[in-house]
Amino acid sequence: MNEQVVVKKIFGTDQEKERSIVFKKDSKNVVIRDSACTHQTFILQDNADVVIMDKPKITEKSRHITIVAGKGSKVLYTLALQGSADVSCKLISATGSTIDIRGIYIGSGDDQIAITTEQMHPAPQSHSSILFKGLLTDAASSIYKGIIVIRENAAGSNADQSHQAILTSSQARSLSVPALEILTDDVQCKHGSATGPFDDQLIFYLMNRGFSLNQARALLIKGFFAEVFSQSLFSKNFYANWIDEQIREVYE
Amino acid sequence: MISPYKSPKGLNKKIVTQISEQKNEPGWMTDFRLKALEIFESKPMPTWGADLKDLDPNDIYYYLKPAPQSSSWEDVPATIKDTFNALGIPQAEQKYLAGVGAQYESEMIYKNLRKQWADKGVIFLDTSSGLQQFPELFKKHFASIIPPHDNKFAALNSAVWSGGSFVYVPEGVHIDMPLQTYFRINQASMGQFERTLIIAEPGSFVHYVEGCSAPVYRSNSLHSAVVELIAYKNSRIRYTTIQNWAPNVYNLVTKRAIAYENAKVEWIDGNFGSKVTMKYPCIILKERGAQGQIISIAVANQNQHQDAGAKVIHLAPETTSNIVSKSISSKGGRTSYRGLVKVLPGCVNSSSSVKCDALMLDAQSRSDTYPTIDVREESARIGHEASVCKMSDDQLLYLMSRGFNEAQARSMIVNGFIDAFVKELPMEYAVEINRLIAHEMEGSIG
Repeated sequence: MNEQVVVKKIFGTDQEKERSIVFKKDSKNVVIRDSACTHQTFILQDNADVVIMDKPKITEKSRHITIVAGKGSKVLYTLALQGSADVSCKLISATGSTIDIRGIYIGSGDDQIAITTEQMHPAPQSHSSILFKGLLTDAASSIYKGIIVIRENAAGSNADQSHQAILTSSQARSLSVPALEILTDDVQCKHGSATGPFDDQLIFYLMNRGFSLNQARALLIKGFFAEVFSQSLFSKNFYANWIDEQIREVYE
Repeated sequence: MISPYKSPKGLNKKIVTQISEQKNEPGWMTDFRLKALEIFESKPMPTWGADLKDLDPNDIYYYLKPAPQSSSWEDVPATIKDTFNALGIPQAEQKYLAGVGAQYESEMIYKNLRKQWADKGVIFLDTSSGLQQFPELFKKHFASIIPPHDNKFAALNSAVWSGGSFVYVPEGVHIDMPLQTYFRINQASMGQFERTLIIAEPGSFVHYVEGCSAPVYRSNSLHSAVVELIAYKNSRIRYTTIQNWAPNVYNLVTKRAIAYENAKVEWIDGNFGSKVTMKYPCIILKERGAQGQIISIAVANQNQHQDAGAKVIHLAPETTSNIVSKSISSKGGRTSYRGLVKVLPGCVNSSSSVKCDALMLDAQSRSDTYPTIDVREESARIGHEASVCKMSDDQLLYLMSRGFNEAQARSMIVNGFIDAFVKELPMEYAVEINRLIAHEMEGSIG
C-alpha cells in the first residue's frame, strides 16, 4: 500500500447501532474506527484496498463486524482488545479477494473475552487469514471460536486461522474451538491453536544477561505480539504505543 | 442345520431378560441391563455428529445366538468379494467374514497360546465367560469407566451386550504377543454389541488387536460396542482397532480408558468401513505422569461418513498426550475429526499436542475438523494444528515420470500419508492395509 495515502479518521462517536460502509471500486483507504457502533458491515467493491484499524480504547464491549470483500479486493482489519469484550467477525470472500484479520487481547482481573469468527468462502481463488494472540493474567478467560467454511465451488482458495494465548496465572483460562468445513479438494487450509506459559529457556536467557524477571517477561510479550501487526506499517505504528503502555502496566 | 436363536426385531424388557437368561447371568447383571434399557429409552437420538435419521432402533435384531447365518454366498455383494480377493484372504476365511461359512478353524493355534497365558495368570476370555468365572473381579471394574447413562448408545450396549473380550493381566506381566480377537473367531467376536473390558495391573503390558482390514459383511446394520480400559500404575495398554464394516452398517462406539500414575494408554484406531462411524476414543489421565496417545485414521468413500476423533482429559501434573489424526475422503465421502483436549487446574507441567491432517482426493468429498481445546492451567503447553489439502500434483508427476502408473502413484502417496498409523500395526495388518489402499485407489481412477 502506498504510504502517502492520507489516513482518514472515520465514524467519530456515532451513536447509530448499525452502519454499513461501502468502499468504492479501485479505491485505496486507511481508516481508523473509533465508534460506538456495535454492528457494522464493510462492503468492498471490486479491487478496493482497505486497512481498517480499530482504536484500542473503543469503549463498547460488544462489536460485530461483517466484511464482504468484492472481486480482487483486499482488506486488513486490525483490533486490540483490553478488558472484557465480545467480538464477532464474519468474512465473506469473493473471487480473488484477500481478507486478513489481526488482533490482540489482554485480559486481567476477571475479564471475559469472547471472539467468534467465520471465514466463508463461496467463490474460487479467495483468501482469508486470521491471527489472534492474547495475554491472560489473574482470573481472566478467553474463548475463541472460529470456523472456516470452503464451499464446493471455491477451488483454489486458501484460508488459515491461528489463536495463541499466554496464561500467566493459575486462574487464567483459555478455550479454543477452531473448526474447518471443507467441501472441495483444491484448497489449502490450516488452523492452529497454542496455549502455554512463557518459555523458561527464554526467560533464563534474558535474566542471565541482566534483565529482571518482569523485564524479561515484558520483552517476551512484546516479541510475542510483534508479529500480529507487522503486515502493514500503518497498523504497526498505530498500536505500538498502546502495546508498550499495556505491557508496562502489567509488568511494572 | 439347527436354526440359530434370533430374538424378534426391536427392543423391550422381555428381550433384554431373555438375553440375560440365555447367558445364565447373575441377578445383578439382569437388573443392570434392565436399568440400562430404561436409560436408553429415555434419551433422545443425538443431533450433533453424523446423520442418524435413517437409523431406526426398532428395526434391528438385538440378539443372535452364535451360529452361522443362513444367508448364502450368492447374496454377498460383488464389491466385498473383490476386496477379499485383492487382500489375498483365503477361501475359508472369506466365507466366514461374509457370515456364510462355519467358524474358521484356528483352535490348534489358540490352544497353545491359551496355555502360555494361563501359566502367567493372564485371563483372556469372552466377556460372558469372564463374568461367570471371575465374578468379583468383573463386577469391580465393569461399567466403572463408561456407565450406562454416559450416552444413548452406551445405554443400549449396556442393555444388550453380547460378546467382546475380558482381559486381565496380573502385576508385572508383559504379554509380548498381541492378543487378537481373530484367534477366538466365533460370531461373538464380530457381534453387534460387544462389550470389552481390559484390566492391566501395575507394571503390566498388553497389546490387544481387534477387527481386520477385510470387510465384514452383516445384514444387520447397527454395531454399537463399548470398550473400557483400566491401566493401573506403571502399566501400558495398547488397543488397536481396524474396522472395515460393510457400507450398510452404523458403527457407534464408546471407548474410554483411565490411566493411573505413570501408566500409558495407546489407542490405534483405523476406520475404513461402515456407512456411518461415530467414535471418539478417550483417555483420562488421572494421576501424575500418565501418558496418552491416540493415532487414528479415517477413510471415507462414497456414501460414507467417518465422524471420528479423540478425547483426552488431563487431571494431574506432568501428564502428556499426543493425538495424530489422518483422514482421507474421496468419491463424495465425508470425514470429520471431533476432538477434545481438556486440561484442568493443577495439571502442572502437562503438555498436549494434536495434529490433524486431511487429504481430499476429489472435489466431491468433504472434510471437517471440530476440535475443542480447553486449558485451565498456566504451566501447561498445549498445541493443536490441522491442515487440509489435496493430493499434490507435483508428487504424482514425480512418481509417474519414474514409471508408476496413476493408480500406483496415488496408492504410494496415500500409504505415505497414513504411515504414522500403519507403522504402529503388527506386520500382517500393515501388509493388508497397504493392499486395501491399493485396491481402493484402483477403484478411484476415472
